[in-house]
Amino acid sequence: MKIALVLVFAILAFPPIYPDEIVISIDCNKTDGIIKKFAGINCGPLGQAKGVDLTEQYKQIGIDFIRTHDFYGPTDISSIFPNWNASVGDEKSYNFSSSRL
Amino acid sequence: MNYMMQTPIRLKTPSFNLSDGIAYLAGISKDRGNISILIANYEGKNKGCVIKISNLPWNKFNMAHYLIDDKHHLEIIENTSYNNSNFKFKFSFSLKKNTVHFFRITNSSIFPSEGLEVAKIPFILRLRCLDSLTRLLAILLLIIIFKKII
Repeated sequence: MKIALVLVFAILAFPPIYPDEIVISIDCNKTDGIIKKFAGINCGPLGQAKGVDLTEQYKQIGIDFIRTHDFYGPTDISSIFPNWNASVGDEKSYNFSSSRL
Repeated sequence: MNYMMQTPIRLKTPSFNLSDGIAYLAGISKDRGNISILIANYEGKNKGCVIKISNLPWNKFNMAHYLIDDKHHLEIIENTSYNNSNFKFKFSFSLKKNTVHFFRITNSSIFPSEGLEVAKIPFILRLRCLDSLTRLLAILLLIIIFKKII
């Protein structure tokens, strides 16, 4: 009888953690550095079709970094380095004029 | 993520394996007035999630639960006030696959705004079975155009 009571108490005191459940414990006094901003995105706010200007929406969601390659325009590698047979070591092989908007 | 930057001091959380498809991040503001928790179930199984917070800076606080899924676009689905004298807090929720949950726990009554309104996609464009039909029609159209040119 005593063993049964102890078992019941143990079950009630320590409810099982199901494998399909995750537990996230957070102690507000235990910090771990600073959160790094990781809000980069591909393609600018005008998009490839340049139909809608999403500049304000980009600002609202905190986009502060845009990868400009595959933009089919300025700063694409094919625009900056148009001749694939040219020497990569020669600065004359590069044309950055399309990025100066 | 922009809202996480309002609470930039990272709080320690248990480690996780990204290949399980679930990731989380917690932070507290410099004035210790706001706490944010971001949990994403990108491609994990449907799970229950229990969050236990200790050493809360306040005993009276408000919590808003934001959700992103196929029906919610960073919408607040729960906004509750609490009064816990022991500065601890525990809550649970259903962490379904393909959902992102954001929690703001604060001693103020000001919460980040909900997500922007999303343009509705017409029903006919949401039918994936029509994708192949659209391609077929496009090919037929091209054949007609080329025949006329030739």
